Amino acid sequence: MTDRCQLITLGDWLGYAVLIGLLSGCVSEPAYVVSSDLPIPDFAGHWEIDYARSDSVQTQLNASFREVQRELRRRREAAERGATYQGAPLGNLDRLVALAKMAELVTESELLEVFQDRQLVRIERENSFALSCSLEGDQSVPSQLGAERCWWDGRQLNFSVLLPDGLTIKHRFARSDDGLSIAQRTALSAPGVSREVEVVRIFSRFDPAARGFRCTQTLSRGRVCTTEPDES
Amino acid sequence: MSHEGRIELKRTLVFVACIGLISCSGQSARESGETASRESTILWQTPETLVVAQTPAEPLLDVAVELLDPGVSPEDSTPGAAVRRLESQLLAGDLRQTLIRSNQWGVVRIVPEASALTPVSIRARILESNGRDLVLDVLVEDALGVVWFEQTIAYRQSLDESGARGFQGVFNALGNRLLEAWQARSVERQRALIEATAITYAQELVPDMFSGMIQRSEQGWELVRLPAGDDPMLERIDRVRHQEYLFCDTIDEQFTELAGRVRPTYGLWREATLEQMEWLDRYEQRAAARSVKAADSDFSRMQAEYAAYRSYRIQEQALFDLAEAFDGESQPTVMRTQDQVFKLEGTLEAQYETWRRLLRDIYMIEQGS
Repeated sequence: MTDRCQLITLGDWLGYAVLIGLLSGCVSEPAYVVSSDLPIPDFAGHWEIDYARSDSVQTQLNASFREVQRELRRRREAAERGATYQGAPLGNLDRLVALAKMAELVTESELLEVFQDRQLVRIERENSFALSCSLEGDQSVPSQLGAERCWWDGRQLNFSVLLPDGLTIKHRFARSDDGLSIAQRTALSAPGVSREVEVVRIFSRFDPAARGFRCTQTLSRGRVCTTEPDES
Repeated sequence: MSHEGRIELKRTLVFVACIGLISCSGQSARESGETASRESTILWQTPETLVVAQTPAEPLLDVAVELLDPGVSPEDSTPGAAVRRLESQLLAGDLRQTLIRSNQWGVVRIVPEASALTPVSIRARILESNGRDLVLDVLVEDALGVVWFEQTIAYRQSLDESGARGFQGVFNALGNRLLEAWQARSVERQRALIEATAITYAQELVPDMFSGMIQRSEQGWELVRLPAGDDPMLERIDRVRHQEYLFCDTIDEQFTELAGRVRPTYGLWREATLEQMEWLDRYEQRAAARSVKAADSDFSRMQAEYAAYRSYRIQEQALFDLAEAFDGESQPTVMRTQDQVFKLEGTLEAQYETWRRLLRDIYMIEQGS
């Protein structure tokens, strides 16, 4: 059980110092935001998940636990030798599992519809809120329930959502050179967990008209599907 | 410090940091300061029942409700600003409906800006509107320039309230204050105001002909004399005034149509926002009482936070889409006089100004000047 609990390390305290420093100077922008002048590729269109090429959260979680087990073994061996172990703290494993479950929830959308023009990219995700980003520099959407930032870094479209208890969800979208697929890398992190949980979902382009039905998300009735052709 | 103590301290630091980051991101320190200072001085309105008359008392007072000042810059193209502009129209409509429902008044019109067309006008600026709180700076002034009252009205909704949701409490309070101010005047003074308003309107059209009928001083105004009842000029002025009423009625139809299209989504957003804000309050209370918070599992806490944020963003985006679609969209207004048809375009304020200028021109042509 001792291994599952973590001690506050110097690194943790430094991290908090940076976070509190950011707070005290609310006007300063976080340093990780790097916008780029490189043109953004065309993400517009309909995309559906390609399970064959996507990560499974369970696989990611298993990999994390294998890494934790290796880490524990290294610690035990170091202790048996009487040596001081220099590795990074393990973090809270309960929270790691919680993060993994959250990753599953956050990446559950199977369909994306992307609208894009010169100023804006808007990624509508099935059963979730749209990720919308102005392409004129990085931007933030603050609210009392969470803060959202987005920026284009020259290779990927980045979205970062920070929730009140410190849960951070980062989505990065990159389009393949042939324009037929999008990689969505979603990384979740939380205070007390030493590693991010990252899930990669690959989406392939599809033509909704070829399916014989189309669905829309409505406020009053949820997802509504029809076989009637789109008049527009 | 014990191990548990350190973990708790760590959680507290992160929570405080995140709440702080969220509350300050995207806002200037000045804005945050203003909001905090406003919060501390706000007197929240307790729910009030609208005073409704069986039959309106004579003399009947016509009331103008100006389109609310949204409190955002016209250049602000953010979705939030678009929502505010939409709200400024919807809330003006709500206020108008409340005054009509009270059955205390003559004709209640929405106008782009106050003028001598109506004896009294209500002007309000939105200081805060977020689904739970509505704070308005209100100024009620008559056509003679006398301020009846000026106050900040604030109303906070609660999910515990039974009955209808919405900001009806603000409009009930405003309607009741207006009634008190009107009833505080003697019937003679009430009649004088209505007559003086008609003269003020005429003075705006032909200043020379109607000068000297109202005497103004630091103490107020007095009606010195009235124009002759059979003055043909008055008849023409009446015609111009009715054309201006016609404009107001036309834009009123536009508002009714707009409200019908956007109100369901706006209502859903307001309800969702209210629910989310109350959830956040409860969350913060739980966070303060650590023993309760500790009972939550990591996953359930994360899931609840994410679900609240997701739901809030979905409702917000639906409203933003709608508000942006309507933002800056003023339908052209087609107005008819006896022998001409005019198509007015641009913002409502611009349309109104153009229409009033046209009416003055028509009046001058009729006068042969």
